[in-house]
Amino acid sequence: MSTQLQPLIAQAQPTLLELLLQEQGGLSAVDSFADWHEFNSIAAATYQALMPATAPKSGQQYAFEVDLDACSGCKACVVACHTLNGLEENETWRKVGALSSQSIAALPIVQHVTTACHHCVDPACLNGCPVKAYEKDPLTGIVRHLDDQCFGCKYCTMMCPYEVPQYSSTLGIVRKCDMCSQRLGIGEAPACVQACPNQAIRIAIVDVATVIANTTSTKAAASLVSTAPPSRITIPTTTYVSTQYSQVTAQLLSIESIEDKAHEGHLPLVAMIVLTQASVGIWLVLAVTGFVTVFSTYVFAAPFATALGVVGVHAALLHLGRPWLAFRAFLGWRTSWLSREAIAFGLFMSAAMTATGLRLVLPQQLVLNGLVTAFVAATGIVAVTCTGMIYIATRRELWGHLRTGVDFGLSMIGLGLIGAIASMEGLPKGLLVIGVLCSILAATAKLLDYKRGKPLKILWEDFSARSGRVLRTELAGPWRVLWMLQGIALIASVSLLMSDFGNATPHLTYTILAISLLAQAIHRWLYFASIAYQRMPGAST
Amino acid sequence: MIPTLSIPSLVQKTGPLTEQLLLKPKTFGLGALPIAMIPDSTTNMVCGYCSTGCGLKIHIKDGQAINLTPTVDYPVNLGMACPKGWEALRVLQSEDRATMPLVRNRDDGSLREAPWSEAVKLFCDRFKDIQANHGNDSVAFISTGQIPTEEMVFLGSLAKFGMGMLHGDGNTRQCMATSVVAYKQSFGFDAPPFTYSDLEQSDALVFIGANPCIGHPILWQRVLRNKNNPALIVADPRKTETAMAATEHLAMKPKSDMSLLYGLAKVLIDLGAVDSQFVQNHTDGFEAFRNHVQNFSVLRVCDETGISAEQLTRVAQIIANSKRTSFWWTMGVNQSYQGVRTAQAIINLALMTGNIGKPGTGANSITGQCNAMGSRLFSNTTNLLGHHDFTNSMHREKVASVLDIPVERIPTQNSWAYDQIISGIESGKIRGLWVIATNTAHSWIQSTRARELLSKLDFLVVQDMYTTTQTAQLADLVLPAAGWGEKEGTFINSERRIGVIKRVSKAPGQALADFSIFRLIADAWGCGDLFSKWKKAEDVFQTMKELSRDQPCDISGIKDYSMLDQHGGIQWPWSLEDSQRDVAPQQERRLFADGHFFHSDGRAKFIFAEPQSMPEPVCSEFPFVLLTGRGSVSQWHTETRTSKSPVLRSLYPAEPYVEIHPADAIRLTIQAGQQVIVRSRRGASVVRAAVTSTVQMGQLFMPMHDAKTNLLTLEHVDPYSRQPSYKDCSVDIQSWKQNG
Repeated sequence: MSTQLQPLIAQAQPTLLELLLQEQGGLSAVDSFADWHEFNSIAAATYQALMPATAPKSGQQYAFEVDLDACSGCKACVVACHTLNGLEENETWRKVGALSSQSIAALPIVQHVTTACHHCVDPACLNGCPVKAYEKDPLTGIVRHLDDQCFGCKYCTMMCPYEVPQYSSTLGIVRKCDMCSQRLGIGEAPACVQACPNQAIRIAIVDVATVIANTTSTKAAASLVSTAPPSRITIPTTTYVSTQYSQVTAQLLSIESIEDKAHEGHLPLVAMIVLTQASVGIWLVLAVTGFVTVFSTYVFAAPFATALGVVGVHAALLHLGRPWLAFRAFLGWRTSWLSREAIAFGLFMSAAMTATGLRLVLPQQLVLNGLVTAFVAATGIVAVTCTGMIYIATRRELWGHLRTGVDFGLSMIGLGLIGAIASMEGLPKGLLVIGVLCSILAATAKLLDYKRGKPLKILWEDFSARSGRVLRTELAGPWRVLWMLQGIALIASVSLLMSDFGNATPHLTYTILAISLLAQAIHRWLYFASIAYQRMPGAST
Repeated sequence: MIPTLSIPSLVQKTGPLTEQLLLKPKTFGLGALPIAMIPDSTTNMVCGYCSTGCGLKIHIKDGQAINLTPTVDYPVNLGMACPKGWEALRVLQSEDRATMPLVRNRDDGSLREAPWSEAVKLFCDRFKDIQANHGNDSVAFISTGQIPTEEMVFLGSLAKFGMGMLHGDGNTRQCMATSVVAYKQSFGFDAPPFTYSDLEQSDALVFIGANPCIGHPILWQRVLRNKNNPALIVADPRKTETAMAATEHLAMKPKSDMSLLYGLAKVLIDLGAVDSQFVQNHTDGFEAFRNHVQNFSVLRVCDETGISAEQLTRVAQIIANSKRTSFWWTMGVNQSYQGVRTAQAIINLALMTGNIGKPGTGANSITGQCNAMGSRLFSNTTNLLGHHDFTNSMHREKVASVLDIPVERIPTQNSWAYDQIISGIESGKIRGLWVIATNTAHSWIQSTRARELLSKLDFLVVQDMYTTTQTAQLADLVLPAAGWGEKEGTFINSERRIGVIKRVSKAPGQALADFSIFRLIADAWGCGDLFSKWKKAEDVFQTMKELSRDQPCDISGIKDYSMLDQHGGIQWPWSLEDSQRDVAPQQERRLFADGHFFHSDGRAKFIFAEPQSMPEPVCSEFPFVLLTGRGSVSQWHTETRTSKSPVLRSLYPAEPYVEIHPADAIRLTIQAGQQVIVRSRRGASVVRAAVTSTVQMGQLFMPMHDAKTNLLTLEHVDPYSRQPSYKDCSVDIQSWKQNG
């Protein structure tokens, strides 16, 4: 062999490195080991005892039953559900929370609580859904979400006291546990039941009447476990069985009930609520003043108010995961305040546009215009009421009737007055101060929360104080800006009142309106972000 | 989702979104699975996290692992897995996987990618240079319990016989060294005697310094399957999940377990619960032990442990009246400055009551890492390959002949332990260090010192799956390694069961199996010929069989990997003689059924000592004892792997925390969830306060998974096992306000 050929041969032979890299790329182990077992009945034998022997009869349904004594907090159920159902990377339909004793006197206790959908007798997700994307199976009682029907309004995530439905921003819809109904349909246990090493989760058949009686009759405060939301809201069917901790249950707290963090502020909803409230408010002023006297700038105030409403209503579309399906929003009107709101605002906007046009076309028809204007205002008030009811219906204490009613009412009146002063001439300027004051007073409840919030806390507190602490800590920045803006609006409106009437420019009143709208937006954002409410252990995970 | 051109209907009950979650029933012995995840074949292998050694069925599609489910007919886990196991494949996909060798530019500290040829050359040049100037023993290695035994054999042989190193140790020093020494001294060999079904067959189970609910959830599963309604006795300063389930929770003071165990021994003797016949026939030293425990009166024990006399008596009575009692311990015992004697105090209880060698009994150490047992037998660090002795010439001859290498290649001296290697850097004796699959800069006790010393090295090589580990951040050279699932080999679990792992997923970039890296280095170093018969992992397994012959851990009867695969793993011993006698190994076997131990006289020894107090007691400046341990089932050690799974990350608190008793919190005006600063004499950590009465007053607990914890711990070790004592140092805690 000639020496010239040697380098060529060396090149042709792979080096050790090349061989090893090549080997690493192959999956020879798989080829030599792969097995092809037929269905193995051992798995089935393991979970057979955890499944009901028969289907539910009339008046019965399937339900999860959790043996808390056996739940050791390993969370295999969470991951098995995630894996076996092919969920998105961050998506988990089952959660595990922990309760522990916080008081000094109590016995040291840690109790893990595995929780998923409770397939409620009266599911709030279903009731709240504006597009009827939920079904409760008449035979099994399983509450199923219809993924293709959902348009991603996330209202069910607020309605469900247990925060079961999970919103996916990539899919634009919510999804939730369906008790692995496809598995149950073929006699297989749900993923969580199969995967619990301690056999702590089983599928039971419950009598619906018994569940209702247990949750609603004597014990108004009955809840699934310590710190869980009151069961009377939705009548959940899950049963938690425990021999260990029942005696001291009242002293157990979850991380959710001690540590509050700011929640989502829902910017599109904030824009929608603030602008529609301003719109309805101005129409209200128009309606009231329309009967008293006719002002020269009436014509501008109407389109201005209508424009605010149009922007506001469309801002709500940004809240939807799949906005092109917004036309489905009315479907749930029988039970959903969101559907009712959509219908009411549809009516309000149509009426407002008609009234605006009418004023342009037939400016002389004073009585007709007055009546139409009154109708616009009336539908507007109904619509704003529906908006309020959306949050009242969640049964969160800080979004209750009184708080939300006063808040939304004063916000509407305040913004209406300020907006009317800006867009109309001839109104007494004192109304501007009243408008600003209304807008400020709308935040009375939040002020109360702030006052009650203490920087330090260890044991149980009410929701107002908990909300207040979040305002004092995580949300301190926006809170300060809110009051700065309210202060500026008040000072500006008062100085305007004191100053020479004739010199006041419309610019100043519009500036005050802009400041007030911004302040209201922050206020509304805090309404969402500073909420504190009864949460299921594990809800924050 | 993109809107389609067709007009959406008012009501749409099915469609593409619904189809995403459609399941297809029963394929390949699996349950229903999402249609997109239907495999075209499956294969079984063991999990690569903890020592439980669960079987996982890997789902394969188009030659690549796509999913897994726990193996239903594997004798360890019976179809169950913990979250780490369920997510074992997910963590292989991560942005920070090492895909190419990285070389540190010492001027600006930056890392740059380099070809393998350059990296291997640099490795050899630098280490050879250091050895030439400072002696062969100036380069050392730190191995791991996370790689297959075959790779440990190769690494240990390459480093010591090929490269001439003297010192090498494993991170198993941090978890199992205590049990090794305790067993060796008491039984004559590092021989955990149990099989997992013992958990199901006891009438009473005693857990000392163990929280299987969190540490070994699949073993807890076996406890719950015990049909005897067993008494559960749990000795732990904290009210853990396991303590919650206990019949008797002995919430003793930290590090008072020796007094407690001696006290129990005394009460048991007083109750007449000693199995005299067993003690007489099979043990040595009981009389001295009996005299020793006479000093542990109930009064003294109650004073030292904080346990009431009534409870002590109740527990002793449970053990005395139980037909079959098993004793289990883990890190609460092992990670102690007096761990060996504490473990032996447990062994003594089992020996004196005859609770050994029978179903449902035993003095049983639950191991930590997936292959800690492989490391104990075959890593060639503390012990010569196959649990032989470097200082024994016959052993050296045997190993040299099995490996077919010159006997002069085998060191005649023992290696330094981990802590001595770290101190060796300080004294300048260790100049080069090769760290494989462990994260010293995070996990070594008193990590500020460890980090400082690692930075002092002339040359630090880190061989790991991830470039982001705290130790890789300090390395001069990072070698990209394939991980579990990307290579082959075997692990040995807590109950001595050997299980197979397989290559089911492609390693990223040019990452190579540690085995291949060792081959490359051997070749470049010039000692490739010594190991030329090891072309693949199974070749080393055949060598391991020869090495184990006539040892208590004899596995010469195991034919090959496929035999392991067929039998659901095989426990050692399984010798050639065993295989000739029986057709197939039984799935659950325990040691010492004949009462014959591995000391030359066949007897087990009672070994005991006087308890010592903590070296750093609490004082007015540092009034709290800091306990450390596992935080959740979803976290593994320094989280280099588990933090890469989004689901696992969602299962534990996002921020590091310290647990504090409500009374202490109120006294110090610390509120739940707020930031606090925990200070020790060595460092300070700002973490969140978790207020819970599961820790006792005057004690704090921090999970070990965050690097902040070891900034506080005090470096001190057990004198026999040299295992660090992570769970006792004194600290202070105060609320922390960033603005002063």
